[in-house]
Amino acid sequence: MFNFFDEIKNIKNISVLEKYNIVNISGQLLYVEGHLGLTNLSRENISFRVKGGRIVVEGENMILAELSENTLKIVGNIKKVEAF
Amino acid sequence: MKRKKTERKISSKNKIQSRTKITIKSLNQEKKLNILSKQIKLFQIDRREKNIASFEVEDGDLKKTKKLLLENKIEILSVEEHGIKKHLKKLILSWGLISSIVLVSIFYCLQYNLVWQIDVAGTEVLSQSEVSSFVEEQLSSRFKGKIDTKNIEIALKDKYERISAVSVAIVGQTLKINISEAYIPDEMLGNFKPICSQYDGIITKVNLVQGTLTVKVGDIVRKGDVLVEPYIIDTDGEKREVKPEASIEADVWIFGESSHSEFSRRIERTGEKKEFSEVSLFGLKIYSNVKNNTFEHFEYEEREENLTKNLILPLKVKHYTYYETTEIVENKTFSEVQEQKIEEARQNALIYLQESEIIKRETYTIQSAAGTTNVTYILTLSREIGG
Repeated sequence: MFNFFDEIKNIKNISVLEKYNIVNISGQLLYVEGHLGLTNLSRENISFRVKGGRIVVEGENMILAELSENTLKIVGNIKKVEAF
Repeated sequence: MKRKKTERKISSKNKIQSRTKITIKSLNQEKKLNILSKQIKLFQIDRREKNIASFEVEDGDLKKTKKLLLENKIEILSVEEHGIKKHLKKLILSWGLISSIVLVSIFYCLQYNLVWQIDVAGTEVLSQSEVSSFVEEQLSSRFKGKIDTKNIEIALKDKYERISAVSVAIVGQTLKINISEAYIPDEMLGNFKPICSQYDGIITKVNLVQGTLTVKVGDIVRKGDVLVEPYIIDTDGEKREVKPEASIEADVWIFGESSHSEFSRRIERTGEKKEFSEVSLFGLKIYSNVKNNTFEHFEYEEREENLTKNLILPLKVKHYTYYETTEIVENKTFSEVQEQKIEEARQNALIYLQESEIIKRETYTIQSAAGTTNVTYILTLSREIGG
């Protein structure tokens, strides 16, 4: 099966993928790879640490649908994703 | 709205995946969730309040999650199981329920194929219980499949001549038997009885409808005599049995009697009496005021009863009553009491009079012998004596 991130990783000289990967699907689902832990969790704001900074996701009725050691999935009405 | 849709999608997915929802209460929840997520994958994390959050874990991780929560001093508010697997597991664990359902199902299937009851309808002369027991004898098996209703119908018709039509059907678990009885005229049955006289008397009127008369007007008959025989002689001279029908009236006599003796003795109580009583327990005399009776002539009565209403102690009290009596000798001639004795005899005869009956004649006879006179009062009435 085709894996987008793996394909990109296979391309040489691209080191940006080493930090974290975020995929926003239609503003309804946000998939994150490489998080380092939650810093805030509420239905309007979910934020987490990543290598070299912090990501803040703002929206409405958001639920953390999945949380593992380095991946997470946010489901809800995602309005904004900011990296600090 | 969107959120609700998303939740619905997720929850239906969870039903299949079989997860357990855990609600926890703790401070600094983000930190606690990070600790948990390092070892367990968490799903549907929802922070309802500042200190309260819920999440789901796969069933395989439940034990580990509980251990981690305990280690990190996180309070568990509730643990709810979800998913088909959980329900199946519960069902499998409920062996008692499953086995009883299976047993009940088997029993139901078996008993549904059996006939439990025989219902007989439409009988008038035939006895329902007799028919029912006959049908029961005909059944080789109680299984519906082995019951031949046609054979039962034939057997019933063969057994009972009175049945003109019969239908046998299995309805549910009942064998329904509908019977139509044939009307058999009495002439065909042929067991007629003659009309007999119910009283002694002289026949005054005869109205024959059917049968052969054995009496005529003016004949004296006694109670039980045959009045009409249950047959006729037809034009060929052959005897043919018929149900006798007739209206036969006769003058019948009713008697009443009284008697009188010129010398009579009778015992009367003087009004003086003496009462004593005796109390006993289990037959042992406890108290008694019984004294010697001083009356020369007396009558004596005795009665026993419980001393108290509650029978904690079965105390019995016995009452003895002595009544003083005297002998009265009377000497009256019949002529002194004649009218009274005749009336007494008449009243004794009137007792036998039926409602609305008209007395045709009244007479009486007086017979005396050895100081005793008997009065016989005779009432002559017209009565239907047979028919």
